[in-house]
Amino acid sequence: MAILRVSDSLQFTILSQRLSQIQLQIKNVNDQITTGQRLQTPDQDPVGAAEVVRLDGDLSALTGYDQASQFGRDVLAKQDDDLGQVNDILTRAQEIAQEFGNSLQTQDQRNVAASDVHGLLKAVTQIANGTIFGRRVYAALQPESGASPFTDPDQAGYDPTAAYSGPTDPFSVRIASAGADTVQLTTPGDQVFTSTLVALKDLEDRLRSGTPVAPAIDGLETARNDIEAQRSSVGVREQTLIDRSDQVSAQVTQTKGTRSRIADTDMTQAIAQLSQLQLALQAALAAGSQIAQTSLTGLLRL
Amino acid sequence: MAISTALGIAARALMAQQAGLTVVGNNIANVNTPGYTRQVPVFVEDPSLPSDGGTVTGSGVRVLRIDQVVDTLLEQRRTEAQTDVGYQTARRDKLNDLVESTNDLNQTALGSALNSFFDAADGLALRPASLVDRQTLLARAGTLAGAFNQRYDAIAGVQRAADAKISDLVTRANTDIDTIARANEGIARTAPTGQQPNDLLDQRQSALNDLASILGVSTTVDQFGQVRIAGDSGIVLVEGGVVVNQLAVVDGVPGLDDNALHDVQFTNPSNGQTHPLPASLQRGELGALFQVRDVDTVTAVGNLDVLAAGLRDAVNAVQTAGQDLSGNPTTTTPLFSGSGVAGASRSIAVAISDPRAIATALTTEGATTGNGNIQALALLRTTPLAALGNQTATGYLATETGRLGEDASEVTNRASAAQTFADSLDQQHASVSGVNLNEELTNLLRYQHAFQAASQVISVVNTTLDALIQMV
Repeated sequence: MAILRVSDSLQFTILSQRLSQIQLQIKNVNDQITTGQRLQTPDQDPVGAAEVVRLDGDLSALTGYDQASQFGRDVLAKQDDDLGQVNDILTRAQEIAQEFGNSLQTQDQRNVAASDVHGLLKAVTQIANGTIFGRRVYAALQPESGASPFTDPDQAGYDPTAAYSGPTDPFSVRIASAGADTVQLTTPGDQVFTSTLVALKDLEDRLRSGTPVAPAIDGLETARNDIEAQRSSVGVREQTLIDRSDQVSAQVTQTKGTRSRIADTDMTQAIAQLSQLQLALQAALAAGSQIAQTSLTGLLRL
Repeated sequence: MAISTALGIAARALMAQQAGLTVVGNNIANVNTPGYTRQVPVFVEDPSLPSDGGTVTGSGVRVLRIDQVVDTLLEQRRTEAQTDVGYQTARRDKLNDLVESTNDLNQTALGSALNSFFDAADGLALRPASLVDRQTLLARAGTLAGAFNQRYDAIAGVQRAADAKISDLVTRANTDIDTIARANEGIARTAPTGQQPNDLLDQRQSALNDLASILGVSTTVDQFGQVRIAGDSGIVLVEGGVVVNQLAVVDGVPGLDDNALHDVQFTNPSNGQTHPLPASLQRGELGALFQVRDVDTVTAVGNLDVLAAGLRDAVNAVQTAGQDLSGNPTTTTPLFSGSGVAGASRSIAVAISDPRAIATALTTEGATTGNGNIQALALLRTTPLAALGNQTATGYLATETGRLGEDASEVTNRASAAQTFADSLDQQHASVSGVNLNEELTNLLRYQHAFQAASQVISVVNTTLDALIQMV
């Protein structure tokens, strides 16, 4: 049914409704601008709101993976550095073994060399008992406050094959949601250092006892290969974590971008919309003012 | 024809035009009165009378009655539209309250607490022996349980608010029923006089529209102009000037906050007989509040319980499979207390206070270095759980957020459509029955001029009579 007759209340009701609508729209746009959030409540965009909740969960999980990756990289970098030092120590031990391999040195000279080798043994033990963030690197990152995992070579009856008394499990971190996506950060110390400790102890004992040192050279070579293998493994795992960190960074950027597109205010659009609405409000008020002036009441007063 | 006849015609014309001026004045006075229907005087010629010379002349004018300008069919449609507007707007308002109280877009919401809990588990997986990280996980678990409890309370608050509004509406509906009955009575008394009880008609229509917005009713008008109000099920509320049934509030089943909710029933004030509120009458605002109170909030809490129970059981299953920091099995040390699904969100709480009791290590690992168990707990963040319909906890929460948002959005759209339709009917009503000042002022001039002309007739007759008297 068409409106054929306009009553005064109809004029003002329509004007009032229109003004209310514009003011409500202005309030909504104002909220968007002041909070920076386009999405205030789920009813404004139910699908978007559900997606935002999921994306927030994803971002939180990604942050956890990133922290685990960063932590793992620090631990593995420490191991890489340690194993490099052990490699240098084994090189020095091999030099000593080569030097004393021809049996021309005196026993005193051999004793001095044995002391040098003992020092190298202690240095390796110290590295093997090393810590990062207050935790033992080669004892599944157990707290530093506990007993050292490797016994001191100065202890009576020192047996390098039984020097390790720490945990036998590796320490791993999870870097993704899939079940198998964990990276081993630590290797039990005995698996890393036993061949080195045995080789150094063997060399020291041979030097002290005057027995030929040539057989110890093979042991040192084996130890060196073991350390190289460990170092290579550490490098691979470190690279895995670096790659994962890069992936996580990219995923975080992408996820934040997606979230922002759904939930954040497009300021340019919002400000343009605000200007438009303010204009509409002014126009509606002006129209209302004009309507009020067109009454016959004014003419009759004249 | 006697000259005094002309005087009488002019005098009645004065009275008729004066009545017209009165009607215009009343229209102008009520230009802004809600529910007022403009009135028009119905002028009719007075019967013609034979004169002395045998001719038949008119005897003037009179106001037969004062009519309302109203479209009965339109008014009926307006009343019906109020029912839908009442339902949709009331449900929209309450659902928006529900959405606001469960808004996971807020930083302090359940989703945030859930993420923080798993973040703490991630941190503890890196430092399983750290008491600080253990304490953090316990605190976050407490925050998560508290978020469930708060959300339950918030939903219970929405249910209670809807219930309180039901009591208010019953009072308002009874007032309307009384008003309609009294108006019916007055209208019936006026009917024999042939006059229109316009003010009572307006009053009754306003009350009827309000009652329709609350309840949803069907109406019929009898030959005396009295309206009979009944529900589809035959329960009569008003018959003539008598209130046959009123609404009454009685205690019902306990709500989410354990206090009794209110049921509504019909009570016959004369004999005290009661009838339950039939489903067909549960429309309008009252129907919407019942829907929110008994369905929407209960569903929301049910889904929240499923999430709380699913998460609690999954976390506890992991927690009780490991060992604590001292190497003791945690078989009997769940992280969260409570069992069952019903009321899980309300009852969930942290069951342990000693951070050492958190099972970070598997039983096959070192107690201080193992992190297999806490990794398994952290992995729950992305593990679909059978109890949650093979969704992750966050996924379930997201689905629930979307569902509530969708419901609210749909009702908002429906309310908007219903309001637009009602607005268009209101505009048509205003077009037909509203007062236009310009029109009234024109009528004012018209009646004023007619009045002046009738006065002039009296003046001329007076002059004529004077001339006659002078001749004597």
